[in-house]
Amino acid sequence: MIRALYTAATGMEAQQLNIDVIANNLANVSTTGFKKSRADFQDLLYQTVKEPGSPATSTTQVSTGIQVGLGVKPAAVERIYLQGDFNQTTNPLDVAISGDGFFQVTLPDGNTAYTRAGSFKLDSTGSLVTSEGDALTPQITIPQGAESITIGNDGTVSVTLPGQAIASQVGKLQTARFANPAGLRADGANLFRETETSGPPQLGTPGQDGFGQLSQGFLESSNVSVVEELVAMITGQRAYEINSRAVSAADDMLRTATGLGR
Amino acid sequence: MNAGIYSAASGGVSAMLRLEAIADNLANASTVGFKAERFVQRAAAPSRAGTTQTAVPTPINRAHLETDFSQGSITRTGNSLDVAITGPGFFVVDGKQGERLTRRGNFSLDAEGHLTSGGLRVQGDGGQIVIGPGSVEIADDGTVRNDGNIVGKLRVVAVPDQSGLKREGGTLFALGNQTPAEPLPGAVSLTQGAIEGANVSPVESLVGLIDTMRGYEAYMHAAQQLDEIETRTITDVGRV
Repeated sequence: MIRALYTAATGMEAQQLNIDVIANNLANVSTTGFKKSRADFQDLLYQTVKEPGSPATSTTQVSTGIQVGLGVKPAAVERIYLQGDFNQTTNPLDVAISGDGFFQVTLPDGNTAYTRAGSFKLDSTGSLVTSEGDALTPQITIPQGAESITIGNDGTVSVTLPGQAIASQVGKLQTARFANPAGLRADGANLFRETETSGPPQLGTPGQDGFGQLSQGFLESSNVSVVEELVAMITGQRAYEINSRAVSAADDMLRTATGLGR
Repeated sequence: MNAGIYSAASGGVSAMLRLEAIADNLANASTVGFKAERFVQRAAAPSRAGTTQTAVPTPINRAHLETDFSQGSITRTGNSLDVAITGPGFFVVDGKQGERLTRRGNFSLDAEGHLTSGGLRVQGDGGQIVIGPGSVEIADDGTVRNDGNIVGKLRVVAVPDQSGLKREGGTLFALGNQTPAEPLPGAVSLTQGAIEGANVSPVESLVGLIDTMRGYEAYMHAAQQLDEIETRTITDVGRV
């Protein structure tokens, strides 16, 4: 049957993926540390009917030829690591990273995951954990009865114990950075995992060598811009519609063809 | 036999080709750096007065598709690895089969920090560009600064004859036998934090769709009429 039907169908499928990605961005507009994604498309192979530059006569050449495109395919759904807005919470266990870097988390299976969501909690033993209960790496334990917890820009965690005038350091948060953060694998629950394309994690001290500083009492909100997403949704929806028109045009022409010879 | 029926059929085939081009353009409405395909049909040579044209016009033989290299719309994204080209230039990437040109400027990094477009490494003036930690600034002329230090300059080239470029999918163009050259000074400028969308016009495409459909119907109708004439010639001529 005719190629145009399938070509237009690839266009509709692409726009569907586009809307799926936008819907996920919008659904996560209030998710701490969420990074928006964007669908990236590529044109498919071209079917060369007449080669450009092939000889037309012995002395002249076909200048443009005929290359029919066969549609579109999704190339990637790319995560955009733009900084999200900071929300002040005044909660001492909320930490935001301003700039590059991820907190390291040890999962129950022993693997390491990475997150930008710094809304930490304490578990029954006083260790700093994520909302899911996964322990931070390096592990930091807050002694019982601590009166105040301070997390410095460089990740130093200190506590003031009752009856002591001077705060004592109980640990240091380390952040990790990747050559290609867009290559990290999203595992859900705000967690990312290292992959071959992300490169290995480089560990460092927040605020030094290009690692982002930490800010206590702040949370990094998602970097989704609702207006941008809505505009993208409108254009996506229209593009879907217009591709469906191409399907019906192809159908119409097929009907005309089958009507021949009656 | 009446040769006109083949001529009408050939018109139908060329309408189909036009539909395919429009469908491909519309399918790629959201593809970064995509250049639309335009259907072009040359008019038949007019028959000179006093002569009889014996060759039957076949529209498909005069049809071809050419790439419309006009500027696509620039959309701001704020992403530091997005670069849009304004003017007639191309980025150069190291493809699997040699150098390829592309306008797709939504770059990303690979595991070793190389700047890539669609997974292929982008060429700088002095080789591939490696981005390390820290901020990335790309100037109008393509100079890439990483954490304040210059790490390279994006290679942007122009070709003498854009219509000779061969489309390869993945928004890549093959050079054919052309040699890329430096674009004229001032002709090309880069914008960081923006992408160039597809240069597909929805209005033009929809009007083209309608035109194609109706044109196709007309060709098919003509074929049917010619068939009718043929039938009458066979059955009615000679009947008294």
